[in-house]
Amino acid sequence: MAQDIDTDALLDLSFLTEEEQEAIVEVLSRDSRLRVLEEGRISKLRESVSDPNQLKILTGDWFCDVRSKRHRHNHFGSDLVRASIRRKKKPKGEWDPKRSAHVGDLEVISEPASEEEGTFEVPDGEGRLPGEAAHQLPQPMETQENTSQASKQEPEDKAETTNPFYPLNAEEAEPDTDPSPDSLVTEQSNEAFQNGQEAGAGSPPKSNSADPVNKLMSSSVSSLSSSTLSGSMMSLYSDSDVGNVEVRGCIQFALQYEAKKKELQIRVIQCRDLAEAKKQRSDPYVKSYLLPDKSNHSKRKTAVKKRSLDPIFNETLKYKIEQAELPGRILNLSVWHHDALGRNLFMGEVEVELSAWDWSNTGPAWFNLQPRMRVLPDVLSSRGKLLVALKFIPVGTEGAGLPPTGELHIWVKAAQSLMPMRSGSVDTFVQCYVLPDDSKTSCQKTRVVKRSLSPLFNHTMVYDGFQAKDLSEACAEFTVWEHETFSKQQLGGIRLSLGTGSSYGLPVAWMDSTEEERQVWESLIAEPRQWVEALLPLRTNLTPRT
Amino acid sequence: MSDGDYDYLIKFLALGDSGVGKTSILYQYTDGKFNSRFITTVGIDFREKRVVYRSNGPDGISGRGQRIHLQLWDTAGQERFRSLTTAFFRDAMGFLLLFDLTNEQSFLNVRNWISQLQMHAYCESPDIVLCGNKSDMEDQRMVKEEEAKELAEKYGIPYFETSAANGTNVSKAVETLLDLIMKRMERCVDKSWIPEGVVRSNGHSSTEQLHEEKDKGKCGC
Repeated sequence: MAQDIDTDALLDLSFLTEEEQEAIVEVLSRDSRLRVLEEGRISKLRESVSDPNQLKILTGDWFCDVRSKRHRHNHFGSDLVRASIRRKKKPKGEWDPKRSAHVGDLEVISEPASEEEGTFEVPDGEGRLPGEAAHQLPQPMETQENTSQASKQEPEDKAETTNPFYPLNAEEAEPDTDPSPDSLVTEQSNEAFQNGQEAGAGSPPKSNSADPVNKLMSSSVSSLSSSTLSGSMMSLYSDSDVGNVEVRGCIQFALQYEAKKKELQIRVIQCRDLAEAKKQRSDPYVKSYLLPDKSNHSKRKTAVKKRSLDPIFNETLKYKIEQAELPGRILNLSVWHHDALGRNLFMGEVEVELSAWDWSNTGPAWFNLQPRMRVLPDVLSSRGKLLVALKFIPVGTEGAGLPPTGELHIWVKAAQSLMPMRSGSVDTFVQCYVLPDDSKTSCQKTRVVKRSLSPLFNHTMVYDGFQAKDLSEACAEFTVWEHETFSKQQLGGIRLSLGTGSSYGLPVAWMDSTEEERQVWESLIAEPRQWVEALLPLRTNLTPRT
Repeated sequence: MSDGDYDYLIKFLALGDSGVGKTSILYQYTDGKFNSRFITTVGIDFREKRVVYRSNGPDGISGRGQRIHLQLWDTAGQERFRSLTTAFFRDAMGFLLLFDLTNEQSFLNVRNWISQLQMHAYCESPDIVLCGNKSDMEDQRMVKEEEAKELAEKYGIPYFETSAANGTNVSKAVETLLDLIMKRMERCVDKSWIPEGVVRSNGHSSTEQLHEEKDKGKCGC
């Protein structure tokens, strides 16, 4: 199955655009359904057919046997591609691929078994909400039989049974899912868009689970003891307040987006079975961030519950945020031990990709706490994407000696999913240079598009005076800027070039194209007179030009 | 259609240069339709069809039909998807290798496609049917039938001149491939209990089925 594929056997599918990836993922999910059917048919055959030769043919084993002589692991191509796409989703260098806490991998667990079942007593004497009590009681009873049912199902179903509250993550999206958050989402006030998408389209896709509570119970019961922090993980931590606390237990919370107030509400309910942080006790509190923003502006905290390994918070953390921004965010909830005298100690966290969250489900859910996984940069590595198209017309190739010199045609189409410095909407424009020419004539700017996180520019420009070989020394640099009354702020940019590090024999800082950016430029050179289009992440790490 | 009540799941894969007609041929086969607009395939796709593989007894009475569920993989011909599409080669039991009769380069590339298959398919010599597509565009033909036949013979594979536009030889090509697979299955096991079959489709009738001149036992070379 997909999980058994070695990381080095995975394909590099970074050249795929988001839309292409989604299309492929949809095909893979159709294939999954067919395979599930087939495996059902095969298992029935194995029970009913006695002749081994006949069985071999009917089940397709004849084929698998021959194939396994060649392809040792006998993975299906579709599994390989699915796993490769999943690996592609993780930004390089920030994740340990084996320890992802994407929503798609998180197991929503059933009510943790505890001795407190049937009683509502809580160490600090806080009462539970009656609604919650009723919700929690029946679960443990039915967990057992549903577990065995869940385990009978093929691994293809695993993602469904372990993620009842969320629509399957992108790799198994339903065909009628709303378009990806990265596609151009209309802001209510932006007239620039011709497509009629409502801002509501920005909300995540529909859930395919009819009865959330039932599905919760059918999820596999995971053990409550999460993995402990390993020594090697310590090196990933950029935060100093980590400490050596074992990560254990789970957290229960609910999410709701209040459209009228434009507010994300995180109801932090309680935690169970936390580890003892210090001197046989913990004083836990919960902290939240809306990643990729890790600034103080994004931080929220609950109150501290003294002396509790099963703290009940019942607090709601709120964020003022546009609905359209949600899909681009990851909610990070972490549990910490408050130490009045020393450093607070990390006790576990949960991350939720909001693009995959089912917003129609506002009920509480339990999650196992995970050890710290990512290096949280203070600077966002990407603040959105830029959609551009380029075409090179070599001299004289249009007939009658035209054009008189090579021409580079550039079409700045749009930006997508921008993440501005502050929450809310922005006015933006794109600036373009074709380096090494950084003079005023080389500088081209689009108009300012107001109040949009996915502005449509459609600005075209032509740079002439080129010969084909000049392209190898040149770099088309695009930067996206936030327009403010008396200033501007750069959100990020891209540089399209061969990325050789030098131009006309001189080393230069701006030939720093990424692999993706290089591929675009290579296509441009290889396919003259053809539009080459690319949707590229805006980098915030463009090497400054001196 | 997708309810597990069939006897065999057979997977085929169509490959060839971009624009030769892979998607169109499969669409013609499964739906009997043709769309002349060129919409390049994004990486990979597939279509499904249920057919019945039936034997004919010596006295003309039809034997029990084998219900075949065909999964027809459609790959992008574009170079940029190559690594992706190649990963699917290993899943297919048979291959429809297409080139465009009006595009000589696509024919010259047949050699490369075959070596790709030899490298990545489930075995070194998988079952392949070669199709010279767009036979309806006779006035723009750039590849002679004899040339193509010669190449096919060299590789020991059947060759058909097909047209996704008017359906010529489309069913024949697929059914020939199916025949090859069913026979190969039989060779993989000791008992040859699979009778020599004649393939018929249930569902819609393509123009092919009006001309019922299928030779029993012949693989259409």
